[in-house]
Amino acid sequence: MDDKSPPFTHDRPPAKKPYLLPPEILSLIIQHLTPQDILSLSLTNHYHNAFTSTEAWRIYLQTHLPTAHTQILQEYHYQQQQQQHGPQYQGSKANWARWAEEATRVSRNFSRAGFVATALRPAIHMYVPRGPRRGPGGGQVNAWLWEPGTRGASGGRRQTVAYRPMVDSYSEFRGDRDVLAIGAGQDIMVSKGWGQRGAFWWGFENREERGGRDDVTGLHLLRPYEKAGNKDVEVALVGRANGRLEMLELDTRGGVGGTCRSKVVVRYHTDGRKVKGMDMMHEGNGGGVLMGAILNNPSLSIYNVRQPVGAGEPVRTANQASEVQFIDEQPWEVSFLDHTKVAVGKASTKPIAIHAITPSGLTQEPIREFSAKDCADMRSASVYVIKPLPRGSAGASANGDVFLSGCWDGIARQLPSPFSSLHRHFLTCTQAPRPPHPSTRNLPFLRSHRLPNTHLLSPSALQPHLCNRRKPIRPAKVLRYSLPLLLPLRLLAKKLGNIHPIPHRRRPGKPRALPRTWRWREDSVCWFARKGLGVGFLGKGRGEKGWCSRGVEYVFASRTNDLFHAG
Amino acid sequence: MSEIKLLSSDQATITVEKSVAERSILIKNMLEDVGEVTEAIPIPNVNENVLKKVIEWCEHHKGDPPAQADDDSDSRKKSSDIDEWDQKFMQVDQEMLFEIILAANYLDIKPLLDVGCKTVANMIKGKSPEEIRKTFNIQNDFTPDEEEQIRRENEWAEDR
Repeated sequence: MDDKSPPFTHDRPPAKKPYLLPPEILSLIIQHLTPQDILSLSLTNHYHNAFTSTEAWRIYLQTHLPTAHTQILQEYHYQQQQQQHGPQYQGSKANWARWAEEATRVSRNFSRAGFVATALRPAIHMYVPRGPRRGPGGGQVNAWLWEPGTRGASGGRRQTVAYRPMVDSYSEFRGDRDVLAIGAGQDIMVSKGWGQRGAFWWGFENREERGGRDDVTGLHLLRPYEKAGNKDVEVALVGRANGRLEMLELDTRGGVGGTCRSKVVVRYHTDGRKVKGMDMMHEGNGGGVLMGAILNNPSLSIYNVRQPVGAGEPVRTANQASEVQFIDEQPWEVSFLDHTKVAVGKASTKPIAIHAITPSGLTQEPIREFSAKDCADMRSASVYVIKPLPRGSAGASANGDVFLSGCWDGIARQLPSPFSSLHRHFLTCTQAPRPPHPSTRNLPFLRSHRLPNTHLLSPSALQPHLCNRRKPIRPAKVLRYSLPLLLPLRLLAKKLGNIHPIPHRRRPGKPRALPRTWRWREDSVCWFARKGLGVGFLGKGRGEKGWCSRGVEYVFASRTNDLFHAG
Repeated sequence: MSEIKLLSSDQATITVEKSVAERSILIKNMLEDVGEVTEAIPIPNVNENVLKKVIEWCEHHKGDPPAQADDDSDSRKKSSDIDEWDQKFMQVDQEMLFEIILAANYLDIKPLLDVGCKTVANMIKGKSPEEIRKTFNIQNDFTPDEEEQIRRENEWAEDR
């Protein structure tokens, strides 16, 4: 056996061993251990500690949180690529213990805070040089509470036509960036967090823009590996109701936030038509970035996206690479399934169509359609939302062929692979009932009612899958989060993305009315996938009068792997 | 049923059915390369006792279907399920257990290696560092300060 021992066995005292087993066997054993056991093992002696810090945490991530592991490896890959081109990408060295901690905390928070809330109140504290000292850090910065639509040329608060908060976010392990962007009316808010130091907000506004006319209808952030310049300048693709579709540079370098102006880098040609829906394809593996937009007068346009390298160049204009016109159909939503397929949600007898992206452009005829009759047993339907399941979650396919769709009848469906589907099944029966009263409200997770005219996505939509959770959902825990709390968006962002522990229980007070301007339209479903570990949805009931009186707002977040067990 | 001979590190010859020996990918590949052999195949890293134990396992499991790639990732997570016979089989002294694992690794018998690793993992689970040291007779070369520091850095692992 001696020839298989680790190298430094000669200095061991005869009775006690400095090692348990050679590293290749140890790595197999690590796969079966929990973080606590790994820590205990690492505390036995130097040999095991060295092994743990280099290898064991990586194996732990690979076994238990594979999506995080994949993301870290990808980031490493991009970093290597960037370093060949220039030393700009400042990444950190491999620190598997820290990443394991981060991923575990995020993941634990997702499974603990699998919450359903009925309303969101964004608490965005903006830095101002002089102002009341009531910042998020306990009064350490001068901050005031930002409210949507308070400024701008029109002044005052105003319910805007296309109002619908657009959310995009990304976070990375190596670069430590944690970015959340919200298109709030005509303004764009960006939050950046640095690990435990908390997050700061930047507001990007232009006083010539008016609420309603210039509302943001699509917002997507370029990922760090897609950016050409400084990685700390956020680059966003923004579509607006006024027909502008632009690439903006949002400078968030230094400081502690504040209000600034964005800089237009590229203008995309839209013929002045309103941008109704937008999606972006992050390809990463050498291919370029694609942007798809649904324009009024209806068409789907695809653009190639590339950030100009040089600074100070004049604004460029870019034309669409390809276009599909729709006749007698009203498209609402575009969503890239992968780099060869794009799904369109529309109001039609065939509400979901999938077009192929070929080297010569989009196929004019869809390669696959889902008819309203088959999907929802209706003559025609409107699909407002299509989201492919995050890659790496159980139940998702590698090429985005499994997606969720949100239709006006309020049912979220999981459509199976359009291409390899012999067993077409729909995960229907969907939503949680409207809460009767905060105190008597039952667990929405455990009931599945169908409320007509309510559009929302809730975990019960995926109820059969939730039942597969290894641990049962304990009522106390879920209730804690399912009370109609007015959850600050900041808090939500924290829960979803950062590594702070879950806040303490709050007193379930009477829900306060929210500013009228801040409301999710009924077809608004946002999607968070922080660090690839969890997802959240926002959905909303229709026909409400007040904020909490009749409409039901649902927000939920959960760990990806808990939600999407393969059926 | 053809039989082959194996020669252990301490020069003992063991006769075994070919299909049983082929549970070991190492031997299987070797037989495929060499073809028919009449001489004993030397297994230089494994002694007679361990080799017998390994063959006992292979004989019991000779009818098992070959492991699927999917099963593999699944079984990794459910570490506590070891089948009853295997549990009994692994009730040997620690030295023997480790040698079985090393032999399974050398002979490339993945299911046996898995069972062995699970057994060791179960011995580690839920124990404090001191208990692990005691169980496996590991020497402690930390100063209390060092130990405290590592514990502090990895505090997160201890919460649930």
